[in-house]
Amino acid sequence: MPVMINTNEARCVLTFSGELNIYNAAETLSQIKAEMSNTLPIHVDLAAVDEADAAGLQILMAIRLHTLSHGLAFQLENPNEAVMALIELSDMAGFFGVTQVFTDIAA
Amino acid sequence: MQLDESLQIYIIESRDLLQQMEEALLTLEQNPEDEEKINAIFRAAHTIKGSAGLFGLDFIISFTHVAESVLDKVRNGQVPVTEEIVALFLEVGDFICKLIDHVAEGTTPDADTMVVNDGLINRLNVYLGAPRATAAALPVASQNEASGVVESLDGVETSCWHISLRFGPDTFRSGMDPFSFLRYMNTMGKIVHVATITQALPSLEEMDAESCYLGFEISYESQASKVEIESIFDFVRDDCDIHILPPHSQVQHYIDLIDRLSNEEMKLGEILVKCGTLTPTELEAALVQQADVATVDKQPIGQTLINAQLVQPAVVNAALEKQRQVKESKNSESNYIRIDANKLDELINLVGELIIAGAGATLIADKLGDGAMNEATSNISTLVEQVRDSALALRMVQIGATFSRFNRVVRDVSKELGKDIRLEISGEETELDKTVVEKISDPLTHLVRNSMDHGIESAEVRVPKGKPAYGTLKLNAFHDSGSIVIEVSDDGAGLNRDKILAKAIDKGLVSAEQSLSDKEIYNLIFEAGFSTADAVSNLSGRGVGMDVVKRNIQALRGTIDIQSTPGLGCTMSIRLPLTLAIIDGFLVGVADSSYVVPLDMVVECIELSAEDYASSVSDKRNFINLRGEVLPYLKLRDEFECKGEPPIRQNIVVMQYANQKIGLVVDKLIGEFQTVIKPLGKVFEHVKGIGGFTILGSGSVALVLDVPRMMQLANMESIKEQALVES
Repeated sequence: MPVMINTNEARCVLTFSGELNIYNAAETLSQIKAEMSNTLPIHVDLAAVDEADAAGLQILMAIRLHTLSHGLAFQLENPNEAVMALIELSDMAGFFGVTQVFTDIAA
Repeated sequence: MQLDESLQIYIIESRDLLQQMEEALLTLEQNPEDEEKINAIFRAAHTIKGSAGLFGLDFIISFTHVAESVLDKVRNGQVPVTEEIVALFLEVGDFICKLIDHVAEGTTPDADTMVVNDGLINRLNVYLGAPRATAAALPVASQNEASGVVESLDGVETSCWHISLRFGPDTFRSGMDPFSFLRYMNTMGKIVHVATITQALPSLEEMDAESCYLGFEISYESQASKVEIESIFDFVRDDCDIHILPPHSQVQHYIDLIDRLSNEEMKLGEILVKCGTLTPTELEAALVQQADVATVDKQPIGQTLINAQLVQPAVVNAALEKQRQVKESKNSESNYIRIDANKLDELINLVGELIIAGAGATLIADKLGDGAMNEATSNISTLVEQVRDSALALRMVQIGATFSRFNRVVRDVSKELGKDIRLEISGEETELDKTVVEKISDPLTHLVRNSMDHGIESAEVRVPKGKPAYGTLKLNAFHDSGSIVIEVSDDGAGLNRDKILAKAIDKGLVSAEQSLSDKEIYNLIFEAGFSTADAVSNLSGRGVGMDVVKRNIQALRGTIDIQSTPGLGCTMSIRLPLTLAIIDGFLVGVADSSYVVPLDMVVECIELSAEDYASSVSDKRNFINLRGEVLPYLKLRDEFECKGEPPIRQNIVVMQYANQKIGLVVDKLIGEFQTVIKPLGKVFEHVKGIGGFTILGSGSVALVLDVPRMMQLANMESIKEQALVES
C-alpha cells in the first residue's frame, strides 16, 4: 500500500510510504481517486517516503491543484530529503507551501 | 495513402492560410501601407513553417524559412512593399501550395519542383543580401556581458540561456525522469531559475498516472555551446517540445517562443517571468508601480512594464498578441466543429425519411378525424419542417469564399492580357449548398476568363468610346424564388450579334434562312465547337468551354442566361437550385396521379374558366389573359396523356421562373407538401419535364415536375407570338 487515506470529520490525511514513483504511480493514483475528499482539508504526510521521482511528484502536484480548484486547505507534512530535493529542483516549494503552513480558506 | 489525422488538418489549415495570404497580398498591392496585411502574410508563412517542423517536412521548412526572413524585413520596413515583392510572394504562395500538394499526396518534390524552389530562393535572397537600413540585431555574444554594456535595442537583457521544455506524455513510460535532465543540467552550468508548468495537468479524475504532463521554463547560466546544451536532451528529443534560446537573444526569438508556447491562457506577467525575461521580483515591482499609478491613471500592465524599462516593447506586444490569439482561437474553436461530410449526408437522408414517415402519420390522423390526434401531428410536422431546414442549413456555405478566389484570377489574367480590369464583388453572403459551390467554381472561372478576354476591350478601344480606361468585372449573387442567381457581368463591348450569327452559319450550326431572336443567337455561343475570337488566345478561344460550362450547369439542374447590350456590356446569369435534395412542394392532382411542383415557383392558383377551356379545345389556344398579361399554359392532362374526362372545374397553377410565367392546368389542388426528391432510375433519365419522384404519405408515388424544362417544352415564345397575332 503506497498510500493510506484516513478521513475523519475534520480532515483527510494521506500518508505515503515507501516508494513514490513511476512503479506504483498508477496504483497510488487510483486509490487517491477513489478515496480522497472533495470537501475536507487535505494533509499529506510524506515522512515514510524513501524514494520519489517526477511521476510521484506529479501526483502531489495534481493533489495540490485539486485543493486549489476546490478551495481546500492543504498541508504537506514531513517532506523528507527525497521529496524536498525534487521540490527544490523544480522550484515548487511555494506551490506546495512547504516553507510555511498553508491556510487556504474556501472563499 | 493513409494520412495521419493531424497531418490532414495541417494540410487543410495551410491551404486556408495560403488563401488568406493571397488575399492579403492582393489588398497590399492596392494599399502598400497596410501593416495589418503585412503581419497577416508574415503570420501565415510563419505558421506554415512552424507546423511543418512538427511533421518533419524539411523541404517546406527550408523554403518558407527564406520567405519568412524576407517578410520579416518587409515587416520591419527594411524592404519596401513594391509590385515586384507582391508578385514574387504570389509566386511563393503558389509554390508553397504545390509543396503542400506533395505532402497531401505523400510524395517528395521532384527535380522540376526543386528547380523552381532554387529559382525562388535565389530571387528571395536578393532581398536578404540588401544592405541593412538600420543598425539592428547585434550579434549574439556573451562577451558583451563582461564589458557591462547593456545590449542593443533588439536583444533582451537577460544574460542566461532560456530553455523551454515540454515533456511528451510517454516520457515516463520510455523510462525517463524529467528531473534527471534538470540534475544533469546543473552539472554543465547553473539553473538560475525554473518555473514548473502545471497547466497541462488534468484534474485528478482525468489524470493518467503514467503519462507525463510536466513542462519547465528554465533560465540557465552556462558556458556550454548550443550544440552541447541540445545534446542533453538527445534521448527525449523525438517526444518533447524543446526550445533553446541563447543569452541576449533577439526579441524576435522570444516572440517566436511565445507564439509557439503553451496554449493555456496565462497572465501576461507569468508569461514574461516564465520566459526568463523578467524575474518575479521585477514583476512584483512593476505590479506595485501599476497599483500606484492606478489611482491616477489606470495603465495596463504591459505599459507599466515598458515604462519601468523592464522589458522591451516588442516583447510585451508579442505576449499581448499571444493572449489575444489564445482567446480568439478559444472562441472560434468553440464556434466550429469539423464534421465528416458523410455524417451530414446521412443526417439529411434520415430527415428525408422522417418527412415521408411524418406525411404518412398526418394522412392517417386526417382519416381518423380525431381532433387531438390532428393537432399532435400538425405540431410534429411543424417541428419536422424546422429540423429539415436546419439540417439543410448545415450544408449551406456562403459564396464569398468562392468569389474572393477570383481576385487572383482577375489580377493574373489582366496582367497577361495587358488590360486594366477591376473586380467588384457583391452578394458574397448569399448561401448555397456546399456541393453546388464546389461544382460551380470551374464554370464560373471560365465565364470570368471569357468576359475578360472577349468582353472587355483594350484601353485604346475603350477611351474613345467615353468609357473609363479600366474595365470592370462584376460578380454578384442573390436568392430569387428558391434558386440562387450568380451573375458575371462586364462593361465591355457586349456580344456581337452579327458576328455570332455569321460564325454559326459558317460552322453549319444554323442555316442562313432561319430567323432567330437575339436571345437565340446569343445562346449559340453555348453550342459545341463555337468560338468567335479572331485569334486563339492562351485563355479562351479554343472553342471548348462554353458548351462544357452549359453542360456543367445543367447537371446541377440549373440554367444559364445571357443579357447583352451592344457597346455597354454583357451579363451572364447562372440560376441554380438552392438544394439538391429536399424542397417545399405543392401537390396537385390530375386524374388519379399526383404531381409536385416547387412551392417557391408557385405565384398563384386561379380557376380555368369554362370559356377559356372551350377555346383551348376548339382553337387549340393555349394561353389566357391574366389581368391583361398573356399567360401561356400547359395542360398536364394532355402532357402526360392521362385517361378519362377532365372535371368540370379545372385550375391553373401560375408558376414563375427566371422572369417567365407559365400556367399548369390541373384537376385539383391538394396543397403544400414537403418533398424529398428521389432521382429517377436510369431508364427514365431522358423523360423530359420530370425532375424526380417522391413518396407520398399514403405510400403512392408522385412525380416532381421540372418546371424550367416544361417551359422550354411549351415553347413560350411561339405561344406569345400567337397571342399577339390574335389580338
